[in-house]
Amino acid sequence: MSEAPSILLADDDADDREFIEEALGEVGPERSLCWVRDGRALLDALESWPEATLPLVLLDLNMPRMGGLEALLRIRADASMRTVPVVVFTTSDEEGDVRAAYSAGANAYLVKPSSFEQLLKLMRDVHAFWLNAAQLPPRP
Amino acid sequence: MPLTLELAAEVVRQAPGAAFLCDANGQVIHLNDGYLELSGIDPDPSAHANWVLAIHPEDRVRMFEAWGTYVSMGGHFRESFRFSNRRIGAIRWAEVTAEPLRDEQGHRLGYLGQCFDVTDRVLREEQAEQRAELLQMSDGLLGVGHWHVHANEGRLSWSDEVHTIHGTDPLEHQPSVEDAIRFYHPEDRTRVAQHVDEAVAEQQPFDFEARIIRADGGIRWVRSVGRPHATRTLEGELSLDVIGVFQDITEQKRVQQRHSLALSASQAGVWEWDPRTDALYASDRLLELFGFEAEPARMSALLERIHSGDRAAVQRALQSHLERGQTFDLVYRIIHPQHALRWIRAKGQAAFERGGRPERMVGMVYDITSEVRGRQALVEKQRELTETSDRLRRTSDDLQRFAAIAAHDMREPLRKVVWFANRVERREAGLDKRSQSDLQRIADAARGLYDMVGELMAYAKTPAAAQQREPTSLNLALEQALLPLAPTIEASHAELHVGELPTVLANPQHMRVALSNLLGNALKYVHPDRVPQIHVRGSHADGWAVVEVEDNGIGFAPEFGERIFELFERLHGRDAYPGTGLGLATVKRIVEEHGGRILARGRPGQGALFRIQLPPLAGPDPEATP
Repeated sequence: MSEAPSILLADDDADDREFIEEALGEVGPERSLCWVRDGRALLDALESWPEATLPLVLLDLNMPRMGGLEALLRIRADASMRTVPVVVFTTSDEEGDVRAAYSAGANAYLVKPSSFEQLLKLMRDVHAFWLNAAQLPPRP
Repeated sequence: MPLTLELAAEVVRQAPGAAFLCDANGQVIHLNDGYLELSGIDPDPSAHANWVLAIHPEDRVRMFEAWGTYVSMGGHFRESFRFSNRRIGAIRWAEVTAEPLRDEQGHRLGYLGQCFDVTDRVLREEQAEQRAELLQMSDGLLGVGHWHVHANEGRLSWSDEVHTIHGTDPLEHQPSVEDAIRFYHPEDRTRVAQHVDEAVAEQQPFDFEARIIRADGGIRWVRSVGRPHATRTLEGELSLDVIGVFQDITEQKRVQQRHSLALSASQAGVWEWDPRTDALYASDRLLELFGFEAEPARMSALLERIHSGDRAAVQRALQSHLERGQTFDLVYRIIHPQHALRWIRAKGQAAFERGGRPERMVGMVYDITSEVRGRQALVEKQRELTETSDRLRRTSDDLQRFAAIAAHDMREPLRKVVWFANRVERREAGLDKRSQSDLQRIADAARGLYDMVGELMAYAKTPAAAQQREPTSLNLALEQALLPLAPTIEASHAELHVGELPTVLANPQHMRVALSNLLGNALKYVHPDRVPQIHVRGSHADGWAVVEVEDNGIGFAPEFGERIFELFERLHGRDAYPGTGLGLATVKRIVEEHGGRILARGRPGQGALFRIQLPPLAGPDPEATP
């Protein structure tokens, strides 16, 4: 029986979604992944989130329609979803992007690593902290 | 009643003025009161015997000789001599005449003398002589002489200096008025003759400057000032003379010419205008500038040459200068009949009467056409330059954006190549060794390219980012740089010695990258036989903040000291030492974008030294209030 989806991935890249899903499947098979392709879809998904607890959001910055940064700002401005934990997960290691993400309210900023091994390690850390150690917040 | 000496004495006693009586031998027998007063002899009769003493010592001998001659030879007696008048303490000049006294038989009884006080006349004559002498002396000094036209005699007299100016000899040459006029330069002669004629005939004063041709042929500029002077001749006839002074002004003229030469060299045209009559004097240069053949004589004619678009403004400026004294200094265009448009800079200043009414105005005009054209060309060039630099900046911005996007879009697929290769390797456990090796190589190659694109991007963005500076501790930047290097340091057993490093005004991230690249370099090119020793030292020298990174690695040949910093320059094969060839180029770019310098020294097998010099952080001003 599959668990309720507790990770919401916003990324327009289907390959990355596959890699991330595979990596998460290895480190935490009980968690299921819900996938959206842009910021707008992310907001919609959060608004109509069916569960009592909010998910962990993995957020790419570069996306069509609505980018990650704008989506993040909107999340933090919305009373019904502002408590959701957001981990920015992107290719960019630009200082400017890092600062912008944190000042928009990101909880963490991770750069997509250059090997699959490192991806696995990152996902293990994310899983260990955000899904096991920390409590996902209830829906307000 | 027969004439006797007694009777004569009585006449003398009662005579007005100074009189005296002598006997037939010429001996003084009586002096009257007038004589006593004039001579200063004591009125006491006992003193009269010493009358000789009252005569000035220098005149006594002459006086006695003349008197002796007269008494013995007869004739007229008329002599001048001086009294040393002790009563008033001054010299009196006397003119003395004497007549013989005879009785009825014609026998000489004695002499009756009269003295006239001529002191005032003599003094006047002396003064006049003195003045004439002084005049003569000053004549030479100033180059000024004087002349006199004696109208009645038709005669002209020149002072010595006038002769000197003409180069003539006063003893041999006595010119007539016509002669004098002939000395003038042919071009000036008519004008001069007219002045002189008017002065004589109509009693008009004159003051002119003209050229004369000297006796020796040299040309001189002279100024002659004359005025009518009515005098009486000895016969009492009225003579309407002309007198005047005459000056050699050649030197002044030269100075003036030099001045006007300077004016024409500065290309200034000069004008003088009488606003009351509109009369205008314009210099030749002004006429040339405005394209007039002859003097326009009126300001209005000058204004007509001004470009119609500027004329009203010039008139307004002129008016506000004349009415309110506002500065007259402006630039306008004129339409020159031949040269079309000309740009003129004009300045002027009016002189005002006591009542504030302008009486005349002088000014200058300069042709600034070429300056204006030059400035216009300059403005055009500047505009072009601004456009070019705008275009360059746009191009550069575009390039940076392009580089960022390209880098992002290139890195993404590269990352995926690695990830896919990794995944295949993980999934297919049963792959043979060659396939495993191939997959590894695919991943390595892709990763190498992935890293290089990242570094290229950082390299391209250095100049813009280097402008974002803050006080940066290089020790702190080094600590951050060392964090990711820790595993490498551990693996190579390198010994790191870090001293105190300066704080500089810089982009902290850049400093971290620069130190990281230098440290990475030192950790990469280690000597196989030695424990790596890396020294990081800081100092201040010659006004620079200095950081040195020294290692005991494989080093490099001294001739590579420059090449080592070039983009994609590799001194070793990629197989021996991996890397993008961007590390040191990036360090150099960062340092130079911060206004610093970098140099490298190396010897093969003996290590390398990298020295970075950065502008120091200016210390806080102790005077500044907190």
